Amino acid sequence: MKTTLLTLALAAATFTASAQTLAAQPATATAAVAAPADSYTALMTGAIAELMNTGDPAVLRASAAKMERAASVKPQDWLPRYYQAYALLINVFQSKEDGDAKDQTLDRAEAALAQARKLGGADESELLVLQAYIYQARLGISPMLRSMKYSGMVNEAVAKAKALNPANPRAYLVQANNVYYTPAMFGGGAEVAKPLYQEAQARFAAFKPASSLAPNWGEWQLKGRLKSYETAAAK
Amino acid sequence: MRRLLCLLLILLPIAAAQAQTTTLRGTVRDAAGLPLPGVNVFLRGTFDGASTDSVGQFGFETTAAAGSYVVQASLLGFITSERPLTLPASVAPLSFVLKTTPHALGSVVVTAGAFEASDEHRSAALTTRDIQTTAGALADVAAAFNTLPGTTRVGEDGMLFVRGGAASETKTYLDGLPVQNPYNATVAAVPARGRFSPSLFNGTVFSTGGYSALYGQALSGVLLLNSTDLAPETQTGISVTSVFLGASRTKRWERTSLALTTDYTNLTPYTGLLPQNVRWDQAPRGLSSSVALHHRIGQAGMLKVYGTWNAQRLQIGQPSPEPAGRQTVGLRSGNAYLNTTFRSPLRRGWSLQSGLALSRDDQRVRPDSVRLRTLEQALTGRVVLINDSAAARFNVKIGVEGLGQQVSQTVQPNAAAPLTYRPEFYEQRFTGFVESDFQLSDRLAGRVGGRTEYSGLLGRWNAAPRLALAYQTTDHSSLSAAYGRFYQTPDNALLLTAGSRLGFEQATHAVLTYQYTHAGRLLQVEAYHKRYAHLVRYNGLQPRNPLAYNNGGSGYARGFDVLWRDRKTIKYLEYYFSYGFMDTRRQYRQDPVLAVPTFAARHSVSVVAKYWVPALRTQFGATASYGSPRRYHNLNQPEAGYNQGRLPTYQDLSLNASYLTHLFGQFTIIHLAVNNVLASPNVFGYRYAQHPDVATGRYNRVAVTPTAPRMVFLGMFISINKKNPASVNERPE
Repeated sequence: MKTTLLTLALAAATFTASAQTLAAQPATATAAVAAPADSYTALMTGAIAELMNTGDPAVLRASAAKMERAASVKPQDWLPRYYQAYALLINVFQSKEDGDAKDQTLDRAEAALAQARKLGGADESELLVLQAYIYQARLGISPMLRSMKYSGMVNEAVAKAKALNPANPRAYLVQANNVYYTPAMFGGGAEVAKPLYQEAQARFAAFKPASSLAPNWGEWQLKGRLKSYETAAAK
Repeated sequence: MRRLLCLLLILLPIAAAQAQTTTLRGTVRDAAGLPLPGVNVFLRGTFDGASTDSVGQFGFETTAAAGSYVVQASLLGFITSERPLTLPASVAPLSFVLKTTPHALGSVVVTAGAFEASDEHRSAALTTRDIQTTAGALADVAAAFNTLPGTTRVGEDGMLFVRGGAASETKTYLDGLPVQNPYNATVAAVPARGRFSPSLFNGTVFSTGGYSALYGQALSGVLLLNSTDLAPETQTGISVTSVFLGASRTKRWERTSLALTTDYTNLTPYTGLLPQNVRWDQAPRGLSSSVALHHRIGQAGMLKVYGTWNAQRLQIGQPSPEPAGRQTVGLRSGNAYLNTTFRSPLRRGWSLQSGLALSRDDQRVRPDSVRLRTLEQALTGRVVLINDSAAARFNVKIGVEGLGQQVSQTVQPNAAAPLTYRPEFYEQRFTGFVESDFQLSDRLAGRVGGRTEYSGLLGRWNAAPRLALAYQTTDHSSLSAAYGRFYQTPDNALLLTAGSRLGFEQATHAVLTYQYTHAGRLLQVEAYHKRYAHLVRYNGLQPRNPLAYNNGGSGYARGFDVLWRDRKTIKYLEYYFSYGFMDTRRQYRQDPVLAVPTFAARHSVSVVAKYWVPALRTQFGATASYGSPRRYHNLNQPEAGYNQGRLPTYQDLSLNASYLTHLFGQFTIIHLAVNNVLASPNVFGYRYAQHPDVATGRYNRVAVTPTAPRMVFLGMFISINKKNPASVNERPE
């Protein structure tokens, strides 16, 4: 009785209403990048395009498997492991499986992410963004019980990602999503998130991927969100 | 030479043409011959491959050039299978058999005897939030665990009575260190509350038997409280309630957090407003404060300092069977507790957990003209080394624990007379323990350990073996068993009188548990058998004579417990049902014969439900409890035998509601709780007069009842936080 006992504990309950269904949506930009230098790059380009253009859980699983195969082609490259984790993560948002199965998929995503981290040349800021995104997925599985813990972890990972690379637009996007899906009474909600999305938009405009294969997702999702703000305002 | 060159030139395109497309097909099965879906089968070093379908079949084309390759089949949880393949290859289907990876330590969990409240482990019976929101518990850890099977509700006492054991037989550990006085001081028939707020902890384990060798000095069970590492965020809290006012301030830095709390409790207005069953000459009031400093050292090291201080007083007028008709009891108490723990990884898979705790507890009780002061000071220390090499199929824990304890009492039987007794004792206890968790196969795991204690006061030592095994019957169910021997130094009150004459009390537990857990539902059924030996006995007619004390008591308890929890079937509804059956008898303290103890109920039932209504932003909670009649000794019916009287059944329905809102722009919870809504007239026992009434020849008696027919609690909890959670994790200024 002695403290603000129920504070965040109960607060968590309201998160239930906000099941996070962030669709992985087409990011056509990656696929269109021209002139692959070699067959590995060409095949990776195709695989990434396929991954970015689907929301189908089966295709996402197949995509993750393909990325695992790509890792066998170039074991020292961090990108296949990164995209494997990404595909598994998006699969969790799209699939209709139960919480335990989703947790297991996220365990695999985290394992792939850990493998990417061990490889030389990995973009630490991008890895942290993906880690934050995975925490969001964990939260979404059981918002009532997990929001207290994972919401903070999302923010922590995003803050580190930004510190390492303030120009990484995906850090701003994931942060904005975190706020967007936090109930208004805990200081979240669409209105609070809007300026964050706008900042993400500015960062996307200035962003140039490091290579044709480097992470470049998120802009399509952001545009969709900004559009929904416009429609809401028009009503 | 030229010819050869020509031949090469002719052959090369042919080889290239042959490498154009090869189709590879086949099946993947597990060791039992069942098809495995989702296996990634591919030609290593190429993008070519496919995942197996629902009947374990795969098929893919490859355009890889002729040569030697490896086909790999991999799936998480199985050992990757490889086989060489030379392209171009025949069309014969390939078949793979995948063996499961040897499970890592911890994949099979020993569930026997333990209930866990955790947000991390999916097998946990409760979440940390459950403890805070259980109706009827009023956010008291012990009261919340009292709704689990294996406990008996002993309403006059408020502590944990586990499987036929007295309250003192369940010990509380805070971050691994035993706590000497885990409950706030109280007087007879006023239930005690735990000293520690449940919001401090993020993992709590309540063991009702067969617990690990890492813990001891408890014949029945242990309550293990593990505090949160770093407070998640900076915030200020204000509580305004019907019985206390509280303020807290938490500050979070990158690697450090500091939390300060202070509470002022005063029940005077409350007891004036609501009807009471007793007379409060001075309603309970008290002041308590705490400080918690947590600091992360390196990647996984953690230093925690937690100190709490508390002072309280009350004076109660209770019905008395004596001619006076009323007995007045006053209480003044002060308690200070400091707990410091440090944990850190060392080298080669070893890690260290250590701690030191200091406590001082001063209680002055004044029943009518008697003056009684008890002062207890204790120092406990503990060092545990753990080897947890990731690859190993077992781990090792080795530890030592030390206790220095001083208890002194001043007893003045009549405030008007100078006669006083001053019993006291010093205890030094040394403990060593070793334990190993091991995994024998992917389905069988266990825990084996031993603990030895030496008591300076008793001049004796003991050795307690512990063993537990768990077998995973299916993916969602397991069977576990635990066996162990447990020793406990007799209670302080006994040691004050007969100290060095006594030896350890002893219990032996055997526990068998079946657990099924899947998709938000949990079923746990547990059968147990306990034997008590060397319990302390004395002659009730000469309680002050040390020579009347010995370790000749014994007893048993057996029964089964059932817990069913469901968080899934109905959206927003969580409920659990618990039932415990117990058959127990013991002969200890002043019992003349083997008898059912007064604190044991044969049947105990609790139903706890919580329902969240999003539209109202309110959670409603209800707890219904039933306990079958407990025993008491009826002095007016000596012919019936000892402890043969039966109390009425225990019944309680408690409700609560928590409404989430904003007040002054800050997140606020308004909490209303009513205990014993129906005002069931529970009776916890009878007090008998010391001498029979001269006229009737019978002993007068009065019922021991709750202090009030109902308990109503209304509170408002405000959390003042940075408004925008997006900026919560900016480094605080």
